[in-house]
Amino acid sequence: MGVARGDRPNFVFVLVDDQRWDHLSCMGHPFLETPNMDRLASEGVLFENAFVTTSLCSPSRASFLTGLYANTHGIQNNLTEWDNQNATFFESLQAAGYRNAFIGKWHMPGRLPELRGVERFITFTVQGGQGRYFDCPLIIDGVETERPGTYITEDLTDFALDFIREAQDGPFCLYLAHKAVHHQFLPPPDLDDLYSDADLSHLPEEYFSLQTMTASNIWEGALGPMERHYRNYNEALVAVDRQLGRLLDELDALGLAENTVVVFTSDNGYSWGEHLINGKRLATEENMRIPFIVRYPAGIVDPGRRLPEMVLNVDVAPSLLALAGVVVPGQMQGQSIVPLLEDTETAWRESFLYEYFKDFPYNVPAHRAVRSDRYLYIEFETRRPPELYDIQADPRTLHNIIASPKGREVLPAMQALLRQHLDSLS
Amino acid sequence: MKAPAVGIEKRPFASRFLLPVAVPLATWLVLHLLTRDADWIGDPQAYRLFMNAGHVLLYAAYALSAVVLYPVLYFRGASLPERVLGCYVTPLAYVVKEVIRVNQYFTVAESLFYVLTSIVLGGLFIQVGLIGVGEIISRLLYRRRFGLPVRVWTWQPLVAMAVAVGALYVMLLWDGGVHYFYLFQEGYKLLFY
Repeated sequence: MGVARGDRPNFVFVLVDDQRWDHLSCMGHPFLETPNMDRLASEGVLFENAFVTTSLCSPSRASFLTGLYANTHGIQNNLTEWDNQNATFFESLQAAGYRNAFIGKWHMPGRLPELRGVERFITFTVQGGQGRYFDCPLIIDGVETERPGTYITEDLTDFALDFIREAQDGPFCLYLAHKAVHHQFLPPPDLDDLYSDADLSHLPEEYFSLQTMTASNIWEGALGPMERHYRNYNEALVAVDRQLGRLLDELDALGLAENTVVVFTSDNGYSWGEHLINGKRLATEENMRIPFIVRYPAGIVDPGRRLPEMVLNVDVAPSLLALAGVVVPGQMQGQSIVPLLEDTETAWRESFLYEYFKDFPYNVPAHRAVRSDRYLYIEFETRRPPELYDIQADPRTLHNIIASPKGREVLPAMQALLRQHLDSLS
Repeated sequence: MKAPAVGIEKRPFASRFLLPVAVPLATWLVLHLLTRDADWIGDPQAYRLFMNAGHVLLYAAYALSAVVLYPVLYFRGASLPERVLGCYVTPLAYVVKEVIRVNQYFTVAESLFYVLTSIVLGGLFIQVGLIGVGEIISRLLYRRRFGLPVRVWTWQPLVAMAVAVGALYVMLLWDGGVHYFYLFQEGYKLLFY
């Protein structure tokens, strides 16, 4: 029971699917209520500028696990297969005495992996690995198991709670990856009408209901009026919040909260009508930015802070290892956020590289981008010309300034920065 | 399924084929261009109304116009090949447009493979069924107009409708089309990876 301050911490990593950075009530959403996400933020550190290096499920998930960019770990889209040579943070943690569980969405192409370092591996393969909201069969440690009468967010949380109870003597690492709130964005029945009458006037002015059925958006699989899907998305998020609350309550009840690092984040953002897009992929703020909260009562100085530093999905693996006192493998391309949690002086990145690889048949061109705190520069691999945005003046990336006097002035530096990032990866 | 000869005048090609076929094609094209960029509508409510209605009409012009077009061709004396071809002109124009459009993202070969997506291929299969529906409608109208004994329900249009329904089920309705989608992706991987 319980662990004293200074011991190796436990880890509870909660990964939501497609949750936007601004879809938490503590980020000012007009109607969504997420008291447990808010609680985490008030008791931990909320990173206001958190990003993924590829805004797509499979590459981003692999980046969380390996600390590597997509062009390094090789999962470049939803078609390229996971390479079992890839090392995840689970291996290093297990070698350091951790008990580890992977529960939830794996969703990387190919067969299920030989996931070294975990003693529990509970996932699903139906619908191409996307799973189903209701009655989703699970692969429990290799055994396919029907789960009639279940709602997946709750079902996965049940398994997570079982693991925490079982491994409470610690140290342990729980990786809980929800199917929610990916399409079909289905909430549990008791939340189905929660936001039926919510005012949606905050949605972007360019959207229209049937844009879900345009050729570019149809592959997102969410046909029908966008408003209905958006309400469901928020209701499904409330269900995630509710299950997060169960996890936090259990950590409290077991006396584990003090020495457990809870990381709450998402695999990518999501556009709800911005640029007439439903989906992710393109290097826009709506797609690249993610919620990112870390709570660690025994190790965080001045909880409740909101930090402006740019943190990335590739930072998670080195951060967990650093917090566990394990040597961070040199090949990891992320940076440990521990100095930020401890509020110590540290040199931090001022820009980052974003990659998107061709993912047939999705209608998004392959591209690379570099984002600084001020500018976003995108180069496409197709005939689409490059784009440059002033993020501070134009956070919705509506005005490409590349041909403007300001753009021409900034462009060489951003081009050089992009080359520099690409060189550093190669 | 040949055009009934009795009572139906075979009009000149332009009148029996080109003109009727041009109407849905032009409607689809104009709606496509209008709904591409409607920023000029300042009022948000009017903009959304226009975009939603425009897209409904756009889909109808592309996918459903054969229901009207086929009988028109029939009563203008078009032969069966002309009627079938006429119903496919707008959908095939859409296919060409899509191949050209997605070529900005994919190679030429991939862009051609894109035709097998449920949306594009499904649109072509819908026409098979609508041609069957159009034939039934035409026969009913013919019987009413000319009072001649024409067999309305024969196996050919029924098979056409069944093929379309079956294809649409597999491509779009079976678990929301995910099974066809993953099959399609497997085919893509086989060919291009």
